[in-house]
Amino acid sequence: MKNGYIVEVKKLSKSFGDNQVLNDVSIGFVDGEISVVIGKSGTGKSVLIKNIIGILKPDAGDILYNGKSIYALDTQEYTQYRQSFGYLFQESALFDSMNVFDNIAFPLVEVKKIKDKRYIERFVNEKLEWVGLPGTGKLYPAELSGGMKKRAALARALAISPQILLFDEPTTGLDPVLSESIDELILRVNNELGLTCIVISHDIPATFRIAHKIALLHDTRIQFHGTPREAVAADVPMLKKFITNSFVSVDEVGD
Amino acid sequence: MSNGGTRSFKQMILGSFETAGNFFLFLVNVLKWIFRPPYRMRRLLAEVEKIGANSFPVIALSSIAIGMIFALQLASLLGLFRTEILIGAAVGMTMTRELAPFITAIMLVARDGSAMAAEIGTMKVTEQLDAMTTMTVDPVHFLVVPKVLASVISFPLLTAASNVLGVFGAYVVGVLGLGIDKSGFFDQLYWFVDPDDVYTGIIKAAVFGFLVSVICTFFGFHTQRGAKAVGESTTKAVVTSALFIFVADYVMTDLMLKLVF
Ligand SMILES: Nc1ncnc2c1ncn2[C@@H]1O[C@H](COP(=O)(O)OP(=O)(O)O)[C@@H](O)[C@H]1O
Ligand SMILES: [Mg+2]
Repeated sequence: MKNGYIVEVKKLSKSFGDNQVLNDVSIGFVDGEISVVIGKSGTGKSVLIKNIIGILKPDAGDILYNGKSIYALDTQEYTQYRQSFGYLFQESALFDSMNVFDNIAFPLVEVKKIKDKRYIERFVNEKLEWVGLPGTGKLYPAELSGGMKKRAALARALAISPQILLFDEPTTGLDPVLSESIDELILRVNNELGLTCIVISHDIPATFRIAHKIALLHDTRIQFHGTPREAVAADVPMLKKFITNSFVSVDEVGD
Repeated sequence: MSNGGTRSFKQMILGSFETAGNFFLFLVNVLKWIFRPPYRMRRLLAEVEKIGANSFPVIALSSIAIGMIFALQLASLLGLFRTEILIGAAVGMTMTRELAPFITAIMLVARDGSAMAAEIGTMKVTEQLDAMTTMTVDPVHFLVVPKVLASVISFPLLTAASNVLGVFGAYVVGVLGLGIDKSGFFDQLYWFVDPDDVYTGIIKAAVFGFLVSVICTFFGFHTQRGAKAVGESTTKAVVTSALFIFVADYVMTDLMLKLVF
């Protein structure tokens, strides 16, 4: 794992027809850190993490996991690679034919093949409590508010026991108070569970609250990648615009 | 303008080749997963309940109606030759060989095929299929296989029910309505309708069940992005299923007439 990168994207390009979304994108994600990728809506942030998890295949480039190319893995290794990720989708993507309990039990039953009903029940209830949704197991996704959906989806993502969590715009569409509580959860996932977090966001204040590293994706490329302090000082026009538009001053940013 | 027209026509042709290719790959994928564990019995039973049991009232009503209508038409025709006694046999033969599997399939396309396409299409658009894939559970294995197996089981069962109920409809019109002799009605029915008639119809139903479920889930899987897309793929699924039922029915009828009867 050179450079401490658990996942490293190398010279990755992806287009859909004539629409070149990512062009020669290279970025590494340090093990145990929270990395936040910011960028305008429609720049390809989701496409980037979908390439990492393998729902989309790049036109060119490579992705390294612990220094090894994921395209060189055999089927079983690739399955293990995927299972080392928990993915929180932008619209939560809870299974709407199943209640919250079954959603969270899904990775246990279908992936880990656990048969012990009592263990599953204890596990699911623990996770629900952890994300702040105790007693909601019987509800269906349609009965949940936006914030509750994100929490339930986080519980499901944690149930696979991942090493890395991918958050696709976890706070978009939530009010500021709810957003802050989701940010708290991301910090807890990182602190208490020690998971590497890759977060996509266009919420700049939240980014500065939680990020160890910030990357800016703009115009098909990574235009900046560094610590929050470096971000404030960096001479990247698009980054400056992002930051000034969200009223963060240098003094507010700690180490 | 004419140039644009030819281009879009060309694209349409290329598009249908692409769809056919994708369908073939999907079909191979379904066949691959059908025989792989884990076999999710509970999901299969849930689908059998949804497709089989819950569709029974619709199938029952339409079968009785068809039996009654058919009996009325036959009564006026057979009446010319004073052979109304054959109404049961004629309805029985057409139902078992042709109408029962056909009506059952068409009604199930409308009721369950469209639901399959819409359910899977919605899961596609809302990234639930992707969520499943990232958790390393194959959506074809988890979602499609139980639906296909349940269809292959349910279509024949409902067709068998349709046979009986169609004849019941003919009985109501013929015996109760027009006063045809009851024992004559049944004697002729048993004399003319062979086990061959029944089982060829049941085989047709199983094939229709397979076709419809694979086609409808395929269009669900290939739903485009955007809000209107689910409706579009549902429509395509229903229309394509109906067309394939016609084609498959013709081919199988031709084969069965040569090989069985
Ligand atoms: N599966 C796909 N097929 C075609 N185009 C896509 C697909 N996924 C994303 N795109 C396009 O890629 C671009 C980036 O999308 P996305 O990654 O979702 O943006 P965002 O940065 O807001 O997450 C958009 O122009 C989008 O239309
Ligand atoms: Mg996005």
